[in-house]
Amino acid sequence: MSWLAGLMGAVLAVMVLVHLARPRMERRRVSSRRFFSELPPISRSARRWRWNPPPMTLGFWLRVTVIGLLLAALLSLGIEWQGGAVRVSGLAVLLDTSASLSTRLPEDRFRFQQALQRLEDTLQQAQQASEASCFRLLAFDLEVREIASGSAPEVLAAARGLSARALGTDLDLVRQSTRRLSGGDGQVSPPTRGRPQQPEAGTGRPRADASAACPVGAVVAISDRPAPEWASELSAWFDVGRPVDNAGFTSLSARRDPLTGRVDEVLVELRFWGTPPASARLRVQAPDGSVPYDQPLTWTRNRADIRFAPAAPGLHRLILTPADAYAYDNQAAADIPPPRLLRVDWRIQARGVLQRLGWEAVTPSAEEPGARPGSGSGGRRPDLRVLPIEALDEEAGTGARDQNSSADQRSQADASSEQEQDSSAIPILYIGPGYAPRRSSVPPAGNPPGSQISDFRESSRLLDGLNFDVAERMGIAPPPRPLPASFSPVLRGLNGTWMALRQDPPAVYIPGPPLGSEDDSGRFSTTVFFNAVRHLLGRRSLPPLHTLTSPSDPVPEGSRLTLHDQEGNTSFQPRSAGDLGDLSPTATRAATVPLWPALLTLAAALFLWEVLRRSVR
Amino acid sequence: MVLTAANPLTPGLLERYRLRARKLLRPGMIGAHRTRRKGQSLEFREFQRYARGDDIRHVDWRASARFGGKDDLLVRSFSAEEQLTLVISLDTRSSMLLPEALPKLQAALWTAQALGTIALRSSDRVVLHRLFGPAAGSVAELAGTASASALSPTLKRLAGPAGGGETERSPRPPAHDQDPPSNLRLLGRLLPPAGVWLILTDLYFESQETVQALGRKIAAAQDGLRWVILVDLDSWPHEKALLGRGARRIEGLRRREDDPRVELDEPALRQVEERIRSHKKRLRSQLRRSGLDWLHWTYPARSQFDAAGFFRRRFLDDPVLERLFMREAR
Repeated sequence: MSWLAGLMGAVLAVMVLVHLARPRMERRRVSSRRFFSELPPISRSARRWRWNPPPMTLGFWLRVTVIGLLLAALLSLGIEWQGGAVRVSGLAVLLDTSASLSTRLPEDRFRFQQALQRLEDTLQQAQQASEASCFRLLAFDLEVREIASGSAPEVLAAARGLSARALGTDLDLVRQSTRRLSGGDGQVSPPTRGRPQQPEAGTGRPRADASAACPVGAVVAISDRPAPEWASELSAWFDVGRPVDNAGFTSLSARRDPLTGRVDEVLVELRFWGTPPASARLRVQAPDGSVPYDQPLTWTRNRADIRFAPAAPGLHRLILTPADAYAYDNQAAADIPPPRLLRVDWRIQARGVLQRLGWEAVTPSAEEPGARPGSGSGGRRPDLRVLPIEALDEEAGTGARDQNSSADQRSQADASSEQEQDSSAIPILYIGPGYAPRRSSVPPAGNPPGSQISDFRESSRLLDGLNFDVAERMGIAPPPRPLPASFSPVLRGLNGTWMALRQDPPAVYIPGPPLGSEDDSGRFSTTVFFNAVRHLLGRRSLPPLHTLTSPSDPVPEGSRLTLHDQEGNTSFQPRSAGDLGDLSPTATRAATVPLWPALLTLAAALFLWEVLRRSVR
Repeated sequence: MVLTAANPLTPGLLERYRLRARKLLRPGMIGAHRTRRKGQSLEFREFQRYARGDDIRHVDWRASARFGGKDDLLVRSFSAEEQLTLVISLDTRSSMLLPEALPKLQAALWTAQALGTIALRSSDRVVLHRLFGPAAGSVAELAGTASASALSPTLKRLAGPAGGGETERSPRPPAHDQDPPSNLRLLGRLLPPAGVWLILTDLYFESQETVQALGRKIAAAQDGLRWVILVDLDSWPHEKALLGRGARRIEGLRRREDDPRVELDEPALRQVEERIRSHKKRLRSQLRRSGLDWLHWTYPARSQFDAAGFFRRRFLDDPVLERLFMREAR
C-alpha cells in the first residue's frame, strides 16, 4: 500500500504544481463583457506564486504580532519568569530523630521528649501569633523525611508517633533542605538519601501534596546539636541538648596479615565525655563463649585503646560496662572472617617454591584465558596469578586476534574480552627468565656491562630491603622482549629492565622466583618476590569487621553498629539560635510563573482587538 | 437574477414628488412633444416664446414680426383634451441584469414603477412595453388609479423569465451575441400623438439592425409629436472600479468558455472605455434627433455603493423626468 500512497502523493504534488502554474485569475461579472475581446494576453507575473507585498496596515501588523506571540508561547513552554512576590505563612519544623536523641537525661527523660516539648512550644507560639497558616513537620537524621502537614494538632500528633532512630546526623542534608524550603521549592526529595519517602502512618495528608498545600515562610530546627554556623539561614535553631556523662566505643579496626588478610588483632578505641567513668570495664565475648578480653579500662586523657587477639573466627561481642546515658555506643561487635590460605594461580615451573610457601594452587574456570584443566584444585577465583613473562606475549596476541576477528565472531570475542577483563582484575606477578648468580663479590674481568644497575626508582617499596651490590652479582637477564609501555621500570640494569610495575590492571614484573638458598642470592630473590607479592595483595578489599546502620537498615543487629560520628558525644554545650519571640512564619517570596500564559493572553487580546476593529470598520 | 428589491421610492415619497412637480410650471414653450392638456388639437391656446425643441412649423412668423423681440420667435400652442399616455419601454437583454451591485434592469424597473405610479394617480394611461423578446405578452396597458396595484406584478412579468427576460437559468444564447427580436412594431397603435415614450436601456445593442429599427421608431414617434426620452443607464464607471487591476476572467451573466481572460491595467481599461464610448457615440449619431431627451444616468465610480441611495438621488434630481408632471403654463 505504500506504493499507492506514494503514487497518490506524487499525483497530488503534480496537481498542486499545475494549480500554482496557472495564472491567479479573478472572476468579474460585468455587463460590458462584449467590449473585452482581443485585449493583451495574461503576463507571467500573474502566476499564483507571485510575491505580493502585504499592505503595511495596522491590521497586518496586529496579525503578525499575534502569530509571533503564539510562536513565542510555544517556544517558551519551559521558561519561567519572576512574576512578583507571594506571601507565604507556613512554618516548617525540622525535628532531629538521630540516635543521640535517645540519650537519657538525669531526670529520667530522654532528649527526644525534650525535643517534642520544644516542638509543642513552637507550634503554640506560632498559633498564638496567628501568623502561621499551616505547619509542616520533617524529621532528619541521615535522611530528611516529610512527616506531616496541616494544623498544629495534626503535626503534633504525628510527631508523637516518632522516635529516635539508630542513625547518625547529616547536617549538610539539613542545610540543603532548609535552603530548599526557604527558597520556595518546598520539596525536600532531592537531598533525601536512602529509601524513597513513604507516607507516614497516622499523618493526614499525603506527602506529595505537602509542599503545595503549605508553602513555607519560616523554618525551625529542633536538635540536640549546637546551632551550626549557618543557623542564621533558619528562623530558629533550638538545641535541646545538655551535657551528660557518657563513655562508649568510637571505632573498631583490625590488624591483618598482609598476605592472607587474616585478622591478627582487633584494635578498639573508646572515649568518654564528661566525668571519667570510675569502673569502666571492657568484656569481649567470642562466638564460642570464651572471653579473650575482660579488663577494666584505663583512660589516657579521654581515650582508651584496647587490643585483643580474636580467639576464633565469628562474631565477637564487645560490651562496655556500666551502662550510661547513651546506650548505642556501649556495645559493639566485630565479625572476624575465617582464615584461609592464599589462593594462587601458579603458572611457572618452580612449583617447589609453591610447596614451600604453603599457598593453595587454584585454576581459573575453563572460560578464563590460559586455563589449563587438571593443573590443581580449580574453579575458585585466585588472589594472585603468577605467570611467566611469556604470557604477556600471549595477551598481546589475543588482543590482536580479537581486533582482527570477523564480525560474526564479535559477540563471542566480546564475551571473552569481558571475562579477560574480569580475570585481569586479579593482580599478576610476571616472572622473568631467572637469575644466574656468581659466587664472587668481585666481578671478573671482561664481565658484560649489562650486569650493572643503570637506574632505579628510589621511592618504590618494591625495592625495600634490597642490596643493590647483590643485585649486580645476580646475573639478572632482561625480559626476552621489551615490556609494554604500560609498565614503568622500577629497577633497570644496563642490559634492560629488571623490575617494573603496572598500575592497571595491577601487575609487577620481577626477574625470577625465589632461589631458596640461604646466601645473599637467595635472600635477594626472596625479598624481591615478597616485596612484589605484598605490593600486589595490599590493594585487596577485605571484608570489614563491622558496618554502620543506614536509612535502609536502621536497626543495629549483629555487626551492624550505631557508631556514627559524634553521636555519642554528649558533652556539647547547648547553643541555640533565634528565639520563639522572633518567630515570624510570614515571608514574602519571589514567585516564578510560566511565561506562556501571559503570551497567550496577550495574543488573544490583540486578536480580539483586530477582529473588533474589522467588524466596526 | 432576482429583481425583487423594494423600490427605494416609497409611495409617500412619490406623492410628495408629484405634488412638488405640480406646483411648478413647465418652463419654456412646448416643442415637438406634447403633454397633458396640450396637444395637437385645432383649438388655439396661446402664443409662447420659441424654446429649443419646439416645432418650427408652429412658429407664427407674422406675430413674431409684430410682437416678438429682436431675437424672439412666437409659436402657437394648442389645447389638447386627451389624456397623457406614458409608454415605458424596458430593455431586458442580459447586459441589463448586471452589475450585481445594482442591475440596470432593476433601476429601469424602479423607474418604470415610480413613473407609472405617479401617472396612474394622475389618471393618465400607462403602457409598459418590453423592448426585446417574444412578442406575446410584451405589452401591458394600465389606466386609472385602480390599476396602480397591478403595476408591480406586470413589471415583474415583463422582466422575468416568464415574460421573456433573460436570467442565469435561461437557455444558453447563441455563440455570437445577437439582440433578441425587438417588439418595436407593437408600439404603433399604443403610442398616440402627444404621448410620451420613455426608453430605459444601456444601449449595449449587438446588431446594427436593432439600432436602425430603434432609430426609425424614434423618428416616427417624433413625427407624431410624441415626447421621446431615452435613459442611458451607464454602469461602466462602477464596473471599471470593480474590475480593478490584474489578471481577470471577464464574465457576463453566465460563465462561458469563451469568456475573455485578460491582464487588466490602465491602458487595457482605457481601451475598453474607448470602445464603449465609440459604440455609444455611433448610436447617438444614429438616434439623435431634434427633440429627443437623452438622459445619461451614470453609476458611481466605486466598486461598492449604496444602490438605493444612488437611484433615489438620480431619479428625484432629474429635471427632465420632473417636467413630465409639471403643470402647463396657461
